[in-house]
Amino acid sequence: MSLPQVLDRHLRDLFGSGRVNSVLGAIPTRGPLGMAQLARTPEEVERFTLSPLACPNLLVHLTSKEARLDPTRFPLAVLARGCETRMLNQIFSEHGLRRDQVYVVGLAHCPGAIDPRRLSAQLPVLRGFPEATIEGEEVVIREESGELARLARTELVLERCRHCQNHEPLIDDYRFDLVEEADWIEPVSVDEDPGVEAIDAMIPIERWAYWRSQLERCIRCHACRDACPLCYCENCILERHTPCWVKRSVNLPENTAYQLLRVMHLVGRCTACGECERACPVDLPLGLMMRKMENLVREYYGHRSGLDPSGEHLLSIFDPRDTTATARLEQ
Amino acid sequence: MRMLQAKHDIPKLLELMDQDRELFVPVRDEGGGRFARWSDLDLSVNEDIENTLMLAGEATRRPAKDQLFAETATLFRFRLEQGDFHLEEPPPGPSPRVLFGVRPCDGRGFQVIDTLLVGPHGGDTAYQQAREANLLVGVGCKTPGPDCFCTSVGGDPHSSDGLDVLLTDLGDAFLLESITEPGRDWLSGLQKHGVGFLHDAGKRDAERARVAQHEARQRVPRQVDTSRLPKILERSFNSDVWATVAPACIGCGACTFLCPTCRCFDIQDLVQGSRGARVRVWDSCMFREYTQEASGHNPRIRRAQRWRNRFYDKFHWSGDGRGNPACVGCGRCITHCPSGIDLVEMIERVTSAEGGA
Repeated sequence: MSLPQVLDRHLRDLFGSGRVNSVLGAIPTRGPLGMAQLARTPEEVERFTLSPLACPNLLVHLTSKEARLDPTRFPLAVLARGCETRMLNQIFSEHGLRRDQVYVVGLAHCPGAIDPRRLSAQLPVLRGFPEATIEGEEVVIREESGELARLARTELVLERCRHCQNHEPLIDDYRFDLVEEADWIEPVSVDEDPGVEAIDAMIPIERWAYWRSQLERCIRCHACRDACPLCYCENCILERHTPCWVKRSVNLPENTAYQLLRVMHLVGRCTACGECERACPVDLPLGLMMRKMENLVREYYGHRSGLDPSGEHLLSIFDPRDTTATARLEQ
Repeated sequence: MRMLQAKHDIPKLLELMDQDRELFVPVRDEGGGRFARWSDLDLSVNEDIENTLMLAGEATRRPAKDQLFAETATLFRFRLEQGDFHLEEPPPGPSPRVLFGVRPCDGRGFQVIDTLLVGPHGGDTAYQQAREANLLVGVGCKTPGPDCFCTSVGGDPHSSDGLDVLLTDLGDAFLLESITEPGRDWLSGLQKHGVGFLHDAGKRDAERARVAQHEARQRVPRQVDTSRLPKILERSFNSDVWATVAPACIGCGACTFLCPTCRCFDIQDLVQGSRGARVRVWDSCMFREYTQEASGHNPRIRRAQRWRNRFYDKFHWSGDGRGNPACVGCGRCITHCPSGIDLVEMIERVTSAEGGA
């Protein structure tokens, strides 16, 4: 059994009581990544893991077209960390899902999830799905032969986890502590974002040269869009042909249009989870764009998405007396 | 024909190769590596070359495929004049090139692409021209990557299939062996100008190469039995096994766009004012839109159906025309799947679910 007994029993009971039709969690993979698994029976819960290595954002499997084609998976229980409950809030607030369709198993006292790219950069020899625990500001990796490495938490976790303000679930129907109450010390939150700061410091011509060199590498596989739990339009503009807004041609102008379109469609919605960047098979720094956009939304409008499940949607608010944006332009 | 090239003289060889044909090499970049034009690189010091060129260890994340089967290829241009369309003169085909450092899996990948785009009755002109213009110089994999399983699909870290010349890493030097007639001509051309650093290889060098090749084969980390798949797949189309992968797949095209054998394309007309171009762009069977019909019906609406299609294309419907599957076992779709889906594990699952029946 990979899950702590109390959580395992709770998830099994959800089936028994008829509360849910499925439970969404993560299972270990052959590499240090983890994979989404939709348990349809209590027995299938058995393979779930809470390892910080299992980092994919599971919420995409609640909002995707595949999920909509499969209504039998709802009501569904999902194992969600604080950041994921924030995103769930956003989805509820924009009526992407109804609250009663989702049973939220909130994973509290979350010390973060490990970025597989940072891990393989630091431990190139690592194979398989080792045991990994976050102990305070250290990540301890153990293999069968014993302790393999002790690495700094802030150097190994996903970018969103470095800046995390949401270690606790914002909403839940059941709460499970990833780190026991007695051992819990809130992790250090890093204010600096050297990536975004470096781009802010560039003059426009340098900035464009930078983005140009990045966007040229995009292969347009749509992994960034498809990994995003908030990219769930029934008719994605990228799949419309009359008129054809973004052409399939893979070149700088079209790649730029594609990525800008993605960013603009997430204004006021994106929670900077960084899943787009994690999914990118050619390592485009997409998280930089998203974090910059989220910073601007906060700076211009004082808005942070997903903090309130019944909250207003930034771009749906119209108030003639609102001068936040124009006042800034006039400055 | 066999030649020996000391590693410290590789820069001289590259300069020489760039004389008659445009040279393309595998380079490390921020995205895990790809092929790039040698003359665009600004590498002068040996150390730079060694760090930038990907001739050992992991293969380029983007396979050599895009050098011959471009993501976007202009097939022809047209213009509208007084209500009539006029085709413009087609651009000249590519100039002679050499793709240096192609991995054997990528070389075998071209053989799969050939089955579709080089037909006996005329194929895709742009691809055929690129195929003829490129000399493929492969480099064997001394250290296969973490998800490599080429030996399970008829390949080998030193397979010469689809290549014109094959290099084997002997530690301090590379052994260059010609495989095809054009490869042999090219090597003898190099030999004339490479006096002083390109040497005739002896019997001992060939023996050292065989040993190195044998050792590399032992280092291929993953093995899976694919021999029974064609038979098993005859009766697995409606198996429950396909549904097991759907909950994890996000439906992106990363697996197909990093695959050295995926060869699906779409045709689009790009029009601006009265001028336009017809282009061939990569497409992916993992996209929902791929099978979207004009009526609104979509025969492969579910991810499990699309995943099954990809699997059948690799192991049942298509092949390399030589009795091998249309998968070359490079492992890229496994290592870089954002959802952690493992093709080898799926092969095992399909085999064990249906194998006994």
